[in-house]
Amino acid sequence: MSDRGMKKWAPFSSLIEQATCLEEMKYQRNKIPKPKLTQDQIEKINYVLQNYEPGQIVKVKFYNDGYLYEADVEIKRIDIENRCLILNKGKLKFENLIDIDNYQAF
Amino acid sequence: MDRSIAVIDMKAFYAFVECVERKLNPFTTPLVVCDPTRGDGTIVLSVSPFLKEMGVPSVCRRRDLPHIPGMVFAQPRMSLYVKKSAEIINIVLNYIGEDDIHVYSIDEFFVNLGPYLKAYDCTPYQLVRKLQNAITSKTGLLTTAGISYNMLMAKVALDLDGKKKPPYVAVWTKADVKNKLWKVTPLSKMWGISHGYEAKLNAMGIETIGQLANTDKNLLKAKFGIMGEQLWEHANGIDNTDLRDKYIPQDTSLSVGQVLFKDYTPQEAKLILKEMNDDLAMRLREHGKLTKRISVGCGYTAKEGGGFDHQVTLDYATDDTDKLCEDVLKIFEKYVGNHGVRRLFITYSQLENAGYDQLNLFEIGKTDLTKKEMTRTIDDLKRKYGKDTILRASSLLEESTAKERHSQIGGHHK
Repeated sequence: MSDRGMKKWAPFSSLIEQATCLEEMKYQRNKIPKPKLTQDQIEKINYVLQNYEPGQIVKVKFYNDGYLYEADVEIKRIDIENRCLILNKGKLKFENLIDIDNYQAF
Repeated sequence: MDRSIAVIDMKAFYAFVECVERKLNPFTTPLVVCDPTRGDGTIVLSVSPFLKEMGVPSVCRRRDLPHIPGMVFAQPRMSLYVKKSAEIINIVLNYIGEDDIHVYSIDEFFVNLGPYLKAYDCTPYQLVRKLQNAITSKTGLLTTAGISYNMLMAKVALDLDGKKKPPYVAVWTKADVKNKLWKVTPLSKMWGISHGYEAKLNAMGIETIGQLANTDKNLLKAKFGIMGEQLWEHANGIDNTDLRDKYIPQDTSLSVGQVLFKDYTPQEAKLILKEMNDDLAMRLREHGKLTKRISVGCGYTAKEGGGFDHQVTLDYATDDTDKLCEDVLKIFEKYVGNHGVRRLFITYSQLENAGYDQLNLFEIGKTDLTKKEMTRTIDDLKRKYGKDTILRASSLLEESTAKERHSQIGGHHK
């Protein structure tokens, strides 16, 4: 049967503002609180950072505005004063760092 | 397959919102949502239930309104209605998962009830009442609903029955296809049948939905193609749509169009095209897309009639405003000649993903302002402080419509 399915129920997209507003509402709604790190996790992050060699690519998992992200980055410098990592792609605050893996080290 | 589907609709949505905001009773107040600053040909967007009961059509022109003492004219506030609409979906999300809600329009949405009946230990009717009560108690707004075994039947139950009178809920079963749906006439009273189809079907001697349902399916298919098949199925209460099966248009496109308030010369129209292109290109970037095809449409003045609609395919997909603007104007200049212009459209199609951009997740560390970063900055400013924050200097000219359009949603007051 050649049913047109959900095509015939496609919403009127004339109001772009409505779609945007719904997306924003869902974005706000689906936010999660920042995960609390266990002592083990903190020690693991410390270990990886202490053994980091310049030029290595690490996988960081970080928290930003209610969501978790992952990225492959290179660490340029650790900025103790401002409590953040200076990466090839910007800055990452320690407080938002959730996990870090260095596959090249092993 | 039998499902359990509800469609819920906000009763006289805009007018109801305006009554609630003003602490007026919608059932005793003559209120219309209609811009009082425009002429008497202005569209009335919504009328209060009180006026509806007096026989005022929900959508009409201001000049068609009866003279009633104490009539309240509410200036449309589209952004408020959009916000309320999201608020309502937010309430429903407390009970129903995202996959089981289909937002159909600003004041109407479908709910796939089936998966929740066991968990809430209730009937479809009870679950819908639960949702309706939650919406009313949190927003003060009233809803109407249709419930049935598929989306189509839920929709017709709402339109032909649920909307009419308290308690504003109609449950239609399979037996109601014969008992209720088949009695419907004229044909266009049913969802999905336009006046055009009605006229064609009338010419075949089909006057009621029942007659349509009992017409040979193959005959309808031969005459109207896939739509003929759909007409027959709907008339028989058949709709196999799975609400969870989200329809994503294959070749998505973005477009913008406007009808001008006076006749524009081609030179003046170019200014408008630039403004439209600026807004559309920003939307393109917000969607994280690039376009590979641009089309420009133009309608000439009523006196001249006609117009054109032409497109070009680009060598590479882009989201660069200037590049897009250049091509838009090239198409326009090639075809417009000396015509006066009254309507303009731009469409971007063959959209591609712009690719994952890390930069917006982190802070930008670079100091050199490349063109891309400048565009991004302008976009951010516009998003944060409004679209009028940065405009083309030419938008200060008298012919410009940018500022006026930025103060509207869907052509109505924000």
